[in-house]
Amino acid sequence: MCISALLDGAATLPDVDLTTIKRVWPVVVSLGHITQTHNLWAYLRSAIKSETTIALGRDRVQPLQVLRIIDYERLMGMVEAGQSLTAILEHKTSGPFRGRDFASWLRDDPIRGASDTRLSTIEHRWEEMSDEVLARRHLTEQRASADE
Amino acid sequence: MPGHKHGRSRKRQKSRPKRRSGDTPVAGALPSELDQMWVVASEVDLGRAQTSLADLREMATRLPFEPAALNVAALQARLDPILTNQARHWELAQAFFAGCDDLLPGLETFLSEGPMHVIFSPQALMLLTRVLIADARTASQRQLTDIEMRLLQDAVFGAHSAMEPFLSEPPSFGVEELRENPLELDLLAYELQAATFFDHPPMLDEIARHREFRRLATSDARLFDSADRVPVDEWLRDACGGVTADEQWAVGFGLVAITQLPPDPIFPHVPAENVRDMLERLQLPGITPELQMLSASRGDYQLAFDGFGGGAEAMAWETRPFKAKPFLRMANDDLLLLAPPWLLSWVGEGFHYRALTHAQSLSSGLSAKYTRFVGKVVETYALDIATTATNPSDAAVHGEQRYGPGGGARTTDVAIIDGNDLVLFEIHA
Repeated sequence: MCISALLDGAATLPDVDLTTIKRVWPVVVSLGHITQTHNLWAYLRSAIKSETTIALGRDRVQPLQVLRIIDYERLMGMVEAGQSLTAILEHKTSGPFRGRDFASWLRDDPIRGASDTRLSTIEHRWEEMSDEVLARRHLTEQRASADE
Repeated sequence: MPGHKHGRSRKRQKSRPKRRSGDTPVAGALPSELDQMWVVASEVDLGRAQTSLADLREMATRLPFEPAALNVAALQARLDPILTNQARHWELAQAFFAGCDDLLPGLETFLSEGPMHVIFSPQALMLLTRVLIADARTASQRQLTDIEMRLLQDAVFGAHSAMEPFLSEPPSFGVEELRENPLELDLLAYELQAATFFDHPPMLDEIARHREFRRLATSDARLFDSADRVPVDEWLRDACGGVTADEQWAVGFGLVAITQLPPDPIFPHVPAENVRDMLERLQLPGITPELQMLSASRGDYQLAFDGFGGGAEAMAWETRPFKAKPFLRMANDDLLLLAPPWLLSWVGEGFHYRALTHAQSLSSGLSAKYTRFVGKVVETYALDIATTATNPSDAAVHGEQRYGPGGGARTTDVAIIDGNDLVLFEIHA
């Protein structure tokens, strides 16, 4: 990640004064299937070179989180519904669910204070897909009726 | 390095259960992956002799292929929607093991011993399917005889224990240990695969996501000038014998509707005449009803599994041929959905894997180019979602920014500035 570059000024973001940033939340999003376990984290820690992850130990940097793409979509669905992105991450990382799956936290943490919401764009895309198939089928049925 | 020391780890199948009503977490207990693990019944639990993989393969030689495969596929289909429902497992066990008076009382006792105890594992049934493909005797569709049914019942239960010899030594999961002992890679693969068997991503989200990936890859102007752009739709068409990507999607969705939509229980057997009717209704008369793009004969599967290698240990986790071809094409051209997740994979992530496999067949350079392009597609998708979800008055969203000498380094794929907080998302495709 580019955390040190951003915090030290080597990298910038448009119209953002990075000196005002008090907390940095690093999140890795994986397209693949991941079930977070103690063993998996141990494996990851043993596989990653410490020099490439030194930025994760800086003062302002919050605990690294790993999400699956479905978790990322759900997280953004919650943001779209009006929940605070950083409040969600703060809840997730401040308790015993820090090293657990996002979905497990959503399901099992009684104090998470967040609700699971699907992104509206995903709902729209599904409706479009269904309409396409139905339209194709209706056309066939109309043709069959005409033939009769 | 923490080991895998859970008392009954050999029988645990990782899953993603919903906590049932009345199932209150223990106060003060830390959540762990054990909360996601369901304990599957094994022969040892019931005081029976343990079936080895060799035993299972020998049993398969006495089973007729198509009738046995039909029964296992039907069991997979009925199990799929009730994976973590203990009561429904018992109902299914009573139906499938009907007449097994030496087995059912033990299973009932086993279920009563713990709220996380279940009977069937989809991974064990996949293993049995794989063994049937390899070893069952040739036979077309018909009813099983009583003797054959009893043998199949024993094989189904035995399949749940057949991998245990490979799991008797718990893995440490350290990198060095894995390098030194390749068998532990098999165990890690088995554990990860076990988790995916119980991980049912919502169909709506999966299909919608992969459809959007294809739209971005083929018709989104922001990626037209990408140096890594490749003709994805052309490759998808070539990968499926001239069937376009849109037609693939329509056929896949149609088969989802035939085999999986309520109110009917999932029924995996699709007679050839039903396939012809579906193609007619979808206005796809040019597609042959054998649907070779998503079906394989027994011989096709044997060749595909042989091609991937991995030996006997891989029998419990090698799923790629099933994901590439979720339907068994039987002797009379009827189709049999071997397990519902394979079809979901075909209409979802399958588009990516079909394009990737085609790229690999062309050249390693094109394969690498495609992989880089997919990375850009997924990054664009993630940025779009963040932009859509975020209210500009509350937070700012940025894609990756170049920095460093010559602009050779890049910031994360998505950055969200929320007050004095900066959230950095790195997308790993």
